[in-house]
Amino acid sequence: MDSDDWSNLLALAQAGDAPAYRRFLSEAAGFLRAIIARTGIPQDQIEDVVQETLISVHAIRHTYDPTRPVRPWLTAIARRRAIDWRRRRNSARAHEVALDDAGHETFADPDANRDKDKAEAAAAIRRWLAELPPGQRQAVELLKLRELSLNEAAAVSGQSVGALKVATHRAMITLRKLWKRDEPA
Amino acid sequence: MKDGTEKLIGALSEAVVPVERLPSPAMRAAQWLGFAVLFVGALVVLRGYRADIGARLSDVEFAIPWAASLFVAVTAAVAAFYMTVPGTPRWIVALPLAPLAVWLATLGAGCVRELSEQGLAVLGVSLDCIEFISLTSVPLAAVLVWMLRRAAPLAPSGTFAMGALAAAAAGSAGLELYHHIDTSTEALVWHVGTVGVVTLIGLSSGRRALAVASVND
Repeated sequence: MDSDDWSNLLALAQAGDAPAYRRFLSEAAGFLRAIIARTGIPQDQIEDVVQETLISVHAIRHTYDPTRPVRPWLTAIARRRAIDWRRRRNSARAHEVALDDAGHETFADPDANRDKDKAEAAAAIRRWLAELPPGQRQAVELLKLRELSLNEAAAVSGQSVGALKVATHRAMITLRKLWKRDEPA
Repeated sequence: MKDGTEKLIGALSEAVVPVERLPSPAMRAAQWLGFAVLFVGALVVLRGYRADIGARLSDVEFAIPWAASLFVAVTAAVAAFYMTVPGTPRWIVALPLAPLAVWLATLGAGCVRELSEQGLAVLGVSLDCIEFISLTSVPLAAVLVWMLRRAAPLAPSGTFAMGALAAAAAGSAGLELYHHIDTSTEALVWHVGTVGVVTLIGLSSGRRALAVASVND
């Protein structure tokens, strides 16, 4: 498929043509995979970055000018998502501590048990998330864990932006109650 | 994983609705520049043109740096809007360099001559300049941020710094029309200096200012 065809498909998508949009996204996904692989993203993470790029393409499809070539437009968005992925990974690494064999043991000094506390907190959060109603859980997962924008999360979940805001607010109240319930006396 | 991508493509294409295509960056830059001319022009009229403006504009030592500051505002605004369209060639960020070089070189040459003739006495303190450029930059930059956020500022810091340069240069060009500063040294220190500070503030706050734009959440 040449670039003109993609331009036409995206222009039709801007007018709300769902089949043209599906075809465009399906064909563009292969192109994005190749671009993202070239940025040095690890093999097992490429598909995540492809999905984030597709969500961005959806959110900013109004910025595409059909008189301009479509590949540089797609490439710039994909590279940006790859940079963001790397930034998130570096930021996560700065807060992570690698566990060695002795890492799971507990020590008399409370400061020495921070790693264990972190692991327990993560397990508790996973448990509480599982207890949330599906709508609230989806809102937290999209907005807080995958860090999508409200517009992107609305596109993925099919919920309105307002409904997502309400669901997130309610989820936070529920999580707070669950935390109080399980808090050690 | 590819199943997940297929599902996502299905969900996105089902959720597609018609969108209003963004006008071209040149058109949006022209709209902002139109607003800047009206806003800065109104301030200049309110404060009163300097009486000798006709004579000053025919003096090349005034007219060349003034025209250069105007071109910096125009080219920086055009560059800022182009930077919000993914895939724009990178050379676009170099657009304001030529007028910026002319602005700095002409004021710089005058400044060297004045300092060699009169020494540091030539440099007065002009808080008016800082006040005018800062006060005009804030609303101009606010309108610019509002317009840039409708697009996709993939590099928010650079984009906002470019916008801040456009806003501050527009303020400086307006200031020259009413303010009685006749030395290049004062213009260089107070006008260009304030424009530089405003641009640096733009560079450091761009991510936050444009953070809620759709691609940078």
